[in-house]
Amino acid sequence: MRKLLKTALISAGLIMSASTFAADYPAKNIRLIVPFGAGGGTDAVGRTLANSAKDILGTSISVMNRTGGAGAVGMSFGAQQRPDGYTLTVVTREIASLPQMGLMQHNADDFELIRMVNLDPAVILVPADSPFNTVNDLVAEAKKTPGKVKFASTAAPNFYLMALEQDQDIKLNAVPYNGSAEAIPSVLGHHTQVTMVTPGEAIAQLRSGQLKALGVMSEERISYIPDVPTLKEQGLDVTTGTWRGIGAPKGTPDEIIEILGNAFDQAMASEQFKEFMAKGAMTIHPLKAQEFTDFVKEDTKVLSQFIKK
Amino acid sequence: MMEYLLSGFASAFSMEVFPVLVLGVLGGVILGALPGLTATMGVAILLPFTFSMMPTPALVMLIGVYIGGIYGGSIAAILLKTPGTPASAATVLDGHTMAIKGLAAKALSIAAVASFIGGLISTVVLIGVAPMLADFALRFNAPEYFALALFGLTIIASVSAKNIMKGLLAGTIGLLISMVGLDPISSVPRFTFGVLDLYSGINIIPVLIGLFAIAEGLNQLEKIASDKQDIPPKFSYKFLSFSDFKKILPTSVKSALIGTSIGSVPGAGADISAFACYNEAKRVAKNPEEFGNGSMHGLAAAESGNNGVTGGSLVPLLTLGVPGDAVSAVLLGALIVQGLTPGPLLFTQNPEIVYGIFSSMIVANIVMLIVGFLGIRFFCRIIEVPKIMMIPIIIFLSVIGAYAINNSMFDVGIAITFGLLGFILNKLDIPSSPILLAIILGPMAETNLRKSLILYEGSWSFIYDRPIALAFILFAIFSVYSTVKLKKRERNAQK
Amino acid sequence: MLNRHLVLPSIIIVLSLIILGFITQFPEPLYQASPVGAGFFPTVVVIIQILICCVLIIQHQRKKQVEQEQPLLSKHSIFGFTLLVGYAALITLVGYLPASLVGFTYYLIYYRVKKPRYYVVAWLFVLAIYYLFSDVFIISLPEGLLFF
Repeated sequence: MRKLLKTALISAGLIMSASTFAADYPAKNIRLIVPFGAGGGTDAVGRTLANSAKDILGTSISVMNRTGGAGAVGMSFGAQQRPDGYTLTVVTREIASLPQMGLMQHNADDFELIRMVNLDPAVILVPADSPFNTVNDLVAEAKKTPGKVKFASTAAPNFYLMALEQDQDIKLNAVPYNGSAEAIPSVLGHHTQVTMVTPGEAIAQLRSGQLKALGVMSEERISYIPDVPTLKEQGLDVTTGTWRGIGAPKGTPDEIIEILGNAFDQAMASEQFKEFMAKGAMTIHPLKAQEFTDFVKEDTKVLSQFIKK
Repeated sequence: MMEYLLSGFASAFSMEVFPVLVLGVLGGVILGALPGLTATMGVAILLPFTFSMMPTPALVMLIGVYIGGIYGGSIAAILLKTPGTPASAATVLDGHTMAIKGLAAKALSIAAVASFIGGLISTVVLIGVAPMLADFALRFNAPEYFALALFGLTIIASVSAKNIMKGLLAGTIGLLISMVGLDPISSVPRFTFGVLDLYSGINIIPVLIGLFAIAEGLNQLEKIASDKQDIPPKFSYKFLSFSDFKKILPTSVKSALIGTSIGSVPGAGADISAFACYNEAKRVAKNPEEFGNGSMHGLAAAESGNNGVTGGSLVPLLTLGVPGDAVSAVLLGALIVQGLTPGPLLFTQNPEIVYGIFSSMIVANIVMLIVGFLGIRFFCRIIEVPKIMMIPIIIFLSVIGAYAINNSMFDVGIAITFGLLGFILNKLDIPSSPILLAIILGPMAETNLRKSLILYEGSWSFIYDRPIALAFILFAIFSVYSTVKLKKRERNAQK
Repeated sequence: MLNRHLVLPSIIIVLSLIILGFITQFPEPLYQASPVGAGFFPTVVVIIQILICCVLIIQHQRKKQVEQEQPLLSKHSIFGFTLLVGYAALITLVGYLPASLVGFTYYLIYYRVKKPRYYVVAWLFVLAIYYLFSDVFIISLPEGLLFF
């Protein structure tokens, strides 16, 4: 009943506001839904991007944190909003994984993907005094003692680890911690032997030398950690990482997507945003709407290999 | 080190920094006092504004909000029985009872002084022995967290006022509530009934608002009917005396140290600390039966304990580069945005920033004490507001607060449900604080026990293998033992 | 006569048994095989809860004296609760500002408050909170479905 009422009200609203579409967009404040908590990495990227884009669009963008279910609650909420371009959502890699695991009712098809913002690879990290010096040391140890090498996992299930395990046919003992803030101290305190996080999450420990990077799981080396070789250089054909982008509810008019896309292109090219991302050791990876959509489709396929049906 | 500290003070009082600091503390106190708005949220909202600021004022403002926010929570807890943050839930136990007895000004002044002592000692410890605390923090892993949580759960028995069994029942209700949502270890949904909003579990803030603020609002509404006159209660404007200060000093200092240690461990924050200090103060008290009936010691322990965390929580941030709690996670972001690298390098590369933070923390605590004292007369006026106006204000603020924490009407529903539950449980003499304590500690105990078992490949040896874990388990046993002994003594005294 | 100190523990025991039933329905984990599963903790807690309720019932049976107690729900608490639910529903429909103004005014009328000063204070309070949240803290307050 409530749902029906809601639908009726929304459609009434649609008819009323249809005439105001596109022509004078944006006519009021835009809401940007961040599916993770205030203060986290996704939140910081969302807020900074909003801050850079507001002058370009000439309207203020208020960030709204809607947390829960590893991003599922916020992204589902975002997908259900009126497709009028006044509610946007930060979409993350979880939009590709959670629906396949049955943990989210909406998926990437419920969004008009506007722009991809950043793409960060995973880095394999061990304590500075670890006996492992290359990825091959780690793989050799894991082959010798299957299921014994203690891995501090930032999430359960951990797709970074699964990519490596599947490619090398190894098995580590994955201990599920709650994000990098718990996994990194666990490795620093030698409770676990190895972890995988993005460069930005461990930049402080990498610069101070408390942690040692065995390899970065990207196609090419990352400018923030130029001394860390890729896994490809070490003979392992494994790449993985995480990404973020901006989406609008399905059905948002093309003209509005166009206006927003151009605005975010400019925002991502702004000095303020570039500086913020560089300081946080995050890699800006701007993809246009179509390329981004294809990218998400491809990643969904990659993830489906790891997800048991 | 000394010269850095002195130049830190000089910059803390400079024209660029001092106004920002005062503003931060004031804003923090207001945010903390409103239900649903926490110090974390205040710091996160301010973060983008700091991007364009110089590093020192930026960090100082955020730290001011943090320190002010934790103190602010206690004002509403004492005056209205509606703790602004989970960290001040333990303050309700004695602070509000004092206010009912007409000692509101005294309770507020004790809270301000104890918070100041907690914050100050914590900062001094941070300056002195941060690297050693860092070492202590790194020894903490799943087994230690499990043992700490187990110890924390034994506090339920001592905060259960009259009937331990009823307190324990509240505890098990809380534990079951904390298990709603995706199981953090295996991602299996538990008690979610397919409701997406429940997948992340039940948020503690709406529960807090419901159990305390809304339940209290309903409770007061009933009382309006009985006393028709609606005359404001009599109370004295007397602050704490010097002899009171001497009495609470030992408790405050001890709680400050406990708070600093708990704060320095990532993942354990002001809420756990306040209850643990309260428990400890009650255990050593000469007359523990006063606790819960307006004990100065209980109030001082809770307040010093929660502000004691402020210094401790910066230990993992500054020495290891990992955030200890949600607030320091935002501070980490602020440091990184300023182009600084948190962690050991910060001390060698940017000592002026580190000591600037330290000295402004001391100044922020002094500002908090002054704001607290100057504000008491003003805060006390809240009591004089006629009940008929105060009740809807509490209720409406509760609804807004529950919404604001996650922009969700679902959370408003949770708050209302728990409001009714808390109201009914009160009528049955079942205390609310154990529910809260269980929701905070339940997931910590469960996930860390299961993590430990994975870490030890199914063996339970971590319980006696690891000294810190063993120590906490012994504390837990001792805590149960002393509570039982205490209750027995009380029963004999009654006969 | 039904006694609340017997009824509540009994209700909780029944609920606990239902919860035990739910626990057996937990799906099998897909990824993490752990020595202690998702159902272990809830089972332990539920069993302890049932034991506590049994003790509470026995405790009550032993204690003979009859205590005078207030009724569980009075007219006022029911009004308060309905006001809350109505207020939340109204917010969903029309948003914070109109809902709060209507809710507060209705409350004052219900309690037959005659002083106009109270009404003014109530409206000012609602507006002050609106300003504080949306302009000072920049937190979006609930928007209704009808007005946007």
